[in-house]
Amino acid sequence: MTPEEMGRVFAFLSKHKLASTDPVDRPRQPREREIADLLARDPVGLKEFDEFLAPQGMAIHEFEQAGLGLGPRGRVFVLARAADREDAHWVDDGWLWDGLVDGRRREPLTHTIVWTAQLWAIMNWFFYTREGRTVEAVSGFKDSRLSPTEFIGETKRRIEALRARGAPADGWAGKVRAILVVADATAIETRIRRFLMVMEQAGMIEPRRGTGEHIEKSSQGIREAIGYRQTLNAAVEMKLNLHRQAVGLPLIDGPAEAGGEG
Amino acid sequence: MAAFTRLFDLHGTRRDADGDGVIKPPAVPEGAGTRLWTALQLLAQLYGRALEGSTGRVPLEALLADLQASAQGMTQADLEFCAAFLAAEREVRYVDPSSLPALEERETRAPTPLVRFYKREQEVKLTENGRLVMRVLSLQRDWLLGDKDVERVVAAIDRGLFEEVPRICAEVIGELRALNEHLTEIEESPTFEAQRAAFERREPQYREMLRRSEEAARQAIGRFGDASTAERFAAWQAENPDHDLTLSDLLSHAENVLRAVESLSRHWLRFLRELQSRRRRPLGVVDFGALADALVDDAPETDFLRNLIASMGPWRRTHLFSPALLDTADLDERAPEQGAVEFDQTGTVAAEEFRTFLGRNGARIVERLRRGPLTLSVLLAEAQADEDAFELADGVGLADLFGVFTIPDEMGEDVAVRVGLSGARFRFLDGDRLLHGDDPVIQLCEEVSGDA
Repeated sequence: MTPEEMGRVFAFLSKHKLASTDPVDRPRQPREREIADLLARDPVGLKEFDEFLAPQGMAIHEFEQAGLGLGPRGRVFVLARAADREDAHWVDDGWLWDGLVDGRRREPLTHTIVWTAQLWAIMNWFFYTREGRTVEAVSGFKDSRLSPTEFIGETKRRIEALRARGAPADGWAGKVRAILVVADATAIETRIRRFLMVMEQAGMIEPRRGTGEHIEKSSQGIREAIGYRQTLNAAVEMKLNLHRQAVGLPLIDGPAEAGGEG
Repeated sequence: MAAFTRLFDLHGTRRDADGDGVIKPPAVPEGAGTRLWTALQLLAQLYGRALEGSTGRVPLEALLADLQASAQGMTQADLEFCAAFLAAEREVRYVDPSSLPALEERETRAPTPLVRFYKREQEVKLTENGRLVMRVLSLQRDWLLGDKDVERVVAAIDRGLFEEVPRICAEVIGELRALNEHLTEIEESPTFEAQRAAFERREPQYREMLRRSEEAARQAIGRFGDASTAERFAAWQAENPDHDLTLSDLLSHAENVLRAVESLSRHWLRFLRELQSRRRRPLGVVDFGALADALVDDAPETDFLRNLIASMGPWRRTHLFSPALLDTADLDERAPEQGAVEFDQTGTVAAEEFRTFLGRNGARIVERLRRGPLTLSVLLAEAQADEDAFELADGVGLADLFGVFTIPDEMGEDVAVRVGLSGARFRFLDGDRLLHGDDPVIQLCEEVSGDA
């Protein structure tokens, strides 16, 4: 791969995060064929490109689509952050919090973060725990399922349980609890819809495409009906990066039991 | 075998007539597992003898002696019961394919006995159907013989069985795909570590299988260039005027087989790398429900949570630069002209030169950037105007430093530099060399410590 080709590949991947030689169930992005072919044709070039990404806290991951059960042929290349490296300056997450803050933009950032962490954990309960899927099982992304209605129901149930659990704890835990229990049903629903919208923009979830039809600009109603699934990128990043965070997370210090509460 | 039982269960299941969907599968009685095991052993023994050429009757006593060696408490009565059962005819109902679209059921009994049992002599003999069952059971996916599957494509071409080629290719590709997915299953399995030894031990055989598969797929493709294949195909076409297959159709089937083999080979290599690299302990199935509770009761600080969510993938590329940062009045926006530059694609010499250059001049560049962001063209123009601006090694010109490098440590730990596009183009004449391209902007970020 020449430096110029490397530049083109980087420009594409830093925007789209993924390139496939034979996209399945979605239209091909402009220039995707050229980029995927550049990556596919030359293993040495791919390795050099990975070395180019390394100091930027990124790595390229390659999958056979047949291996993932995605289709008869094709390879897919995923740009993901490397668990053990510092992020590059061009990587930004500030936009995420701008998108997640409540509609009136009056709440402190702390509230947005506490809520997002809850919703993130519940979303992953649907993607992983409910299915008995390990965090390492990247290929499970294609069968993952998140129904907005179920998501809302489960979140309301949890918040209700939190309310019923009685006296608020002191200190920081008490504050976190207060931030969560104050939300009524409408507020929870609004927050979840915003969360789903931002997660879709971030390429973490996408409308399910079980039957192979293209859903490019589907309405909110269709999304409600068919639900979402996790994206390949999200599955790769979870596998690579949850480890890095696991040290500071309660409960995640090793293999846990399947199942959990419903 | 377990996979088959679902179909037989369904065949013998009663479904409530009132259509409320309640199904009543036959209950599994006690001792079912032992009976199944005994029956399979009985068939396996007979099949083994048949493979060695003896297909005649076998005394139960002889079979019993073998079975008793591996299982305690096995009696002649147990064995006799199994033999008598397998020898009895049983009603099987099926839909007559010729009746479609109407679903007309027929019944048969003839093919159901798997052995013949001679009660008086206490002897058994395998039937053709029994042999078939054992053959199917032995057809479990055997990785190490995958190349034999691919060789079937070559054999079909060589024998002029062209109508079979698409089917065989589809089967082979399906099988290769299944193996490919099976590798993923193993990679993602929580017991991956435990399987390491088994795979490492057989690595040469797997490698050989993949090599031969690839060779066979290439042979199949090569056959389409032979005159003899063309002749056979012409003869086949004359005999089969109804088939509309063409040689190029067949070739593309064979090419798909090769692609599937190549995909499996690449996956296998990555799989091996994964096996051999030191792996972290897998997290396994994480209880995110309990985690959601813990995020309240044992709540981490918001900075940690913020970092956690952000590091699980929802990142975006920032728009690094705004041209508004710059005074662009003097940017050269002329259309690029034709020209040719040859880069050293290996990069090793150039990287070394660049490293030396940064070592000597890094501090000067940072000093210059402290006065504000600037484009590469301005930096180069300033360097050309002032011979002492940069310290260059003998025989190295500024144009020698162009290339793609990643040597982030050279700038020092307390400085971060951002580079982005200005939207303008630059032209740079260094001796007889003209370089032109997008003009990047260089900006010094706030000085940060350590984590820049």
